[in-house]
Amino acid sequence: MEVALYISGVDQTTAELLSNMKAEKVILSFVAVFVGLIAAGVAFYLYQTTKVVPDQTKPSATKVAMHASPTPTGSDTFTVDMPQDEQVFDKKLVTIKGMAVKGAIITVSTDDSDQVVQPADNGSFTLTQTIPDGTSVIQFSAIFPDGTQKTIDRTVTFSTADF
Amino acid sequence: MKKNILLITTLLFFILINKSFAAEPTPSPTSGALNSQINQLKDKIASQVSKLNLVEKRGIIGSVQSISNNQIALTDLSGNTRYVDIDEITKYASAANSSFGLSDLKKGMLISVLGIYNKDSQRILARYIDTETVPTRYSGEITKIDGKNFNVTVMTTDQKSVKVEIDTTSTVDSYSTSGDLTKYGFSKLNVGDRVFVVGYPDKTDATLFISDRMIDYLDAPKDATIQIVTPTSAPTIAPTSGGGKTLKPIKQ
Repeated sequence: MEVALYISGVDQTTAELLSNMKAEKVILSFVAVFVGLIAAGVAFYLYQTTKVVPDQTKPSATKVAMHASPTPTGSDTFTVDMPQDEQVFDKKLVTIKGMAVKGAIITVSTDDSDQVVQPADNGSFTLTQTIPDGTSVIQFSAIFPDGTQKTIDRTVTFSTADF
Repeated sequence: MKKNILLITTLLFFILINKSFAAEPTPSPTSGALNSQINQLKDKIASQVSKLNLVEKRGIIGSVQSISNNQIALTDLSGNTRYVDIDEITKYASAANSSFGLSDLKKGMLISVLGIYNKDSQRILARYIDTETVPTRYSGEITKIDGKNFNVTVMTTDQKSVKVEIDTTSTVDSYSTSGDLTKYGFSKLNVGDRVFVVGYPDKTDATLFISDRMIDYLDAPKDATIQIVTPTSAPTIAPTSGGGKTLKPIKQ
């Protein structure tokens, strides 16, 4: 009953508006502008809440790639990245990775065997080496093209003990 | 018609307004409890991860400096002092002594320690302690070859002269940049060759070094810091013929 009265009231208001064409146009224009503003506001809100802002504090993938494997330029550049000092392995075969100046002669010496390698054009070298049981020292020595030498020691352990 | 358009426009307006409010759902009590549980789980995982990152297995080698009931101080191969905690489950071993224990450890003894290293305290909780023998390595150039006694003298890069014995158990290899390690012989060694030697000091003669393995780098560049002094022979005095006095027998 109340709904019917309300609708009849609306009908009366509509009838009054229809009678006045100018007022109708003005109201319609305002409503259209208002609806447009609301729609634009909603669209802007949705855009702001869903967009992803890149973190400027972290280096980008491109920057990381640029710093990943620079070609060593110093005449005595020699680093061993793997294995790390005092590292414990549960496998006897370990991977050795490092960097040295091009033309260097690198000797990898464990307690019971030696290997000699030369780095690639970009200075990197990779090889596998069997390590002795228990704790031992792997010595890495590089003879540089100018005749000087540099030595790096790494203490490594082979152990399958669970503790 | 215009009446309908106005009604539709008004309805659309209210629908759009309602949709914008509907974008933020009211959290139900059930989802709140779930979120709390998820956060607690996250905290526990983060705590465990930090614990796991704080400790790790490590193995070190060093010479004993001091020993107490629950701690050993070592000087590691880099010269740093390391503190090793020991407890009742620490195991001891030695190749020379089957009943090796804490009481057998002496100052200056070289040992290896395998245990749990704490990055925060920088101490290692020992699980295994073994006596250790590390081979000695020298790099340098051959300055003298004694073919009779099968030994060579090597001048190291730190200007140390070492007498190296090549015995029957020693292996000698050569390396050239165009190839790989190949078998070599004592007779092929030359003065001035750049070599790498691994071995142990002789137990009877402290000045002698017993080579286990030797590598002769055939085409390695010379190290300018190594000075090979070739011994010069002592000047010999040529006998003179006319300058000296002649002795004549005394006639009696």
